[in-house]
Amino acid sequence: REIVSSRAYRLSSAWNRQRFEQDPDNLYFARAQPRRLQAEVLRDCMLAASGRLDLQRPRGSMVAQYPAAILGPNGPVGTVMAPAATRPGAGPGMSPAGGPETSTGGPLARRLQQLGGAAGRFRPGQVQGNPFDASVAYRSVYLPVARGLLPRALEVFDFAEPSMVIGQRESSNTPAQALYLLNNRFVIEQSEVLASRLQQESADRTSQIQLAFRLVYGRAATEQELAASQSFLLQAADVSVGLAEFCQALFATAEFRYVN
Amino acid sequence: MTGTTGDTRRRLLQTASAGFGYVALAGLLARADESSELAQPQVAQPLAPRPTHFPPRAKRVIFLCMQGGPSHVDTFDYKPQLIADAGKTIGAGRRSLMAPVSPFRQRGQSGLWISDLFPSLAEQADKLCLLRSLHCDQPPPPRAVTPMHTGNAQFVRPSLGAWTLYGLGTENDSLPGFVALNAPPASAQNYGSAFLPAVYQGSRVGPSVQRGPAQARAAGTAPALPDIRNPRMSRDAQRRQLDFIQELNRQKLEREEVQPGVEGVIESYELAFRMQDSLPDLMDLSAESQATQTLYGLDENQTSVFGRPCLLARRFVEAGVRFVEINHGNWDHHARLETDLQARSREVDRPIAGLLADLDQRGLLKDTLVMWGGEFGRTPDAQNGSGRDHNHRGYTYWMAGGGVKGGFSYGSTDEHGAAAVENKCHVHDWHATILHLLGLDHTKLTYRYAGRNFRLTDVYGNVVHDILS
Repeated sequence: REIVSSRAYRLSSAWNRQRFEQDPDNLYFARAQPRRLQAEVLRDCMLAASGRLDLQRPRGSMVAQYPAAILGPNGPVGTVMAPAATRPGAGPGMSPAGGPETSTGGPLARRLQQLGGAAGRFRPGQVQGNPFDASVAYRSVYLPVARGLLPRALEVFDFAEPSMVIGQRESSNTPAQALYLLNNRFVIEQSEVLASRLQQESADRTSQIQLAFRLVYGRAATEQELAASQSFLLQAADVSVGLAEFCQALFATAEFRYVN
Repeated sequence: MTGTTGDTRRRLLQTASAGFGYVALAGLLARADESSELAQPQVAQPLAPRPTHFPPRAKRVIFLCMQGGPSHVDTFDYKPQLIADAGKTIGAGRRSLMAPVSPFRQRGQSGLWISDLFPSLAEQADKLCLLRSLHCDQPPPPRAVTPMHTGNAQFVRPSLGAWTLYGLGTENDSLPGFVALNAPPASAQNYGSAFLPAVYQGSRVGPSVQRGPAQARAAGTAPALPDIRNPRMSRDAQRRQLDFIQELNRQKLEREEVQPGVEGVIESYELAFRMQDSLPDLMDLSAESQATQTLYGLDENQTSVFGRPCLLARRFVEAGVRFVEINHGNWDHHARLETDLQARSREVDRPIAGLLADLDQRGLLKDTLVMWGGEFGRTPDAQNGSGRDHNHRGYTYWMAGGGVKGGFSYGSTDEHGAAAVENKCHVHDWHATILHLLGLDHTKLTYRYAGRNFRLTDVYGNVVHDILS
């Protein structure tokens, strides 16, 4: 408590020329050091903004649903059983997060179908991408971590290598992170869900933008940001597509990735 | 300090300013000072080209990684005594010796002995530098693949490619600097960066290749990098979105003035967008002429699986990628060595020969180091009647191009090929030599982690100077 209630801890990260000149490297805590959000927080924040975040603990682990072949080069080629939890209407922990186009069956079930084909037979040579990337909505701490295989949402944002002792995570800034936020299906899905939430909760464009800024950044948009957002949305051919692209852009900004 | 009862050793050390404790503390302080001065490069562009320790002989590496352990006595280590003693139970093994499954012949001007299993590669014998005295510590696969990459079987360590990228940076900032083609599943450690920053880890490109025939099917699909393409948006729409993202980033930067992190984010998005444009183009092999495609064996089903990544590797190194690793599996021949080894060799022979010829004709071979080998070799004595067991005590690697002697053979195994005896070359020595060829001193290429400096070669490694051209 003493630490978190200290003056230094509660400082703002706002920039100030006079203080900057006195302490350019921030050695004396002239301001708070902006920090990057960790992988789990970033993913959870996207889910929270879209309103999809499921705080329940999932039943079982996704790892159990994959045959050994996926976890090790010498594992046998196994048969994927349709897991009970992914049946439609299954437990609260595995609720689908597939966005507006979600049809029957959870995203996990769909993912398994993609992996294994209709017969449910899993062939390792056909794996495209990471099987742990299924769009589940539970908190990131419940995501599976297997040796040599991490969910991409964690992997690209400096998750600690699970087979090593890591005292402090790296805080890197890589193009892979940019590609993830620009192109990954999970991010696109959350943007679409957030966009439909904006449309449901407010009618006019300005209040949608303001709501988005409040949900994603926890603050109101500045005049400039409002103008930039409006001109971006005006260019969109389709209103809801444009809104989803706008939401994704908010997730992709530096502001979202830093604690100020 | 003798005589008086008060002057015990303990008292002396407690009071004297030059006591052991002080000496140790001074040492620690000096060390802390030194390490803060030689701190890791916390630069804005960790992938920018970095100066080498001395002039390099090679600028980039193509590593042809044959997983499973190809038999050296059947391919590049000619052992006439093994032919003579076939069927006898003598020498190091407990089982009867088995003759090589294919005859050997002297090739090229240099007269290197190469097996008939590699007819096309044999035509390039004068480019090859055989290292016939490799040995390593850890016999059981697939664990031995890891020390081959990282120098350590026990702990997770950065791979050779990650060290290379850390040491040299990259020459093309719109492509990954370290590319792992057709890596098998669950092998991330072999191209990982461990405690090195994540930017140095290998980018896995292409379908993962499982050992066995699944490989042929998997490789038919287009290779890809995760998240390289947006499934919904057109390029123009995405550029518009990116401009909006960057506009918000710039506004934040203006509001807060000094935010190096935000500048880094802006830069990384532009880089990612360039990568998104250049990578699919680079991986489109249809731009290559028919003659080039044939050179790499793309005209045949059997050779096209490995030919495709070989051609990709040339395109990558040409574009400035620093380290390309191509995996080829299923060399673990405990039985049916003759048929299986023949099939594997045939799959890689033409593609590799094509790669060497193509690099040469483009003038790239002189500063591109090409290396071929597996995690170990195989025993001269037979296993299961028709196979050979793992052999980590002696096996063969070859190198070509980038600063090594062509048509040269270094070191040797005993009369049957069971163990390295002359000019032995441990995996650490091999690593040290590779870094040396790249202009890096393996004892100076360090990274501070967990309170000490780490190296690829740990406390080992001797550069094999005899193979340098």
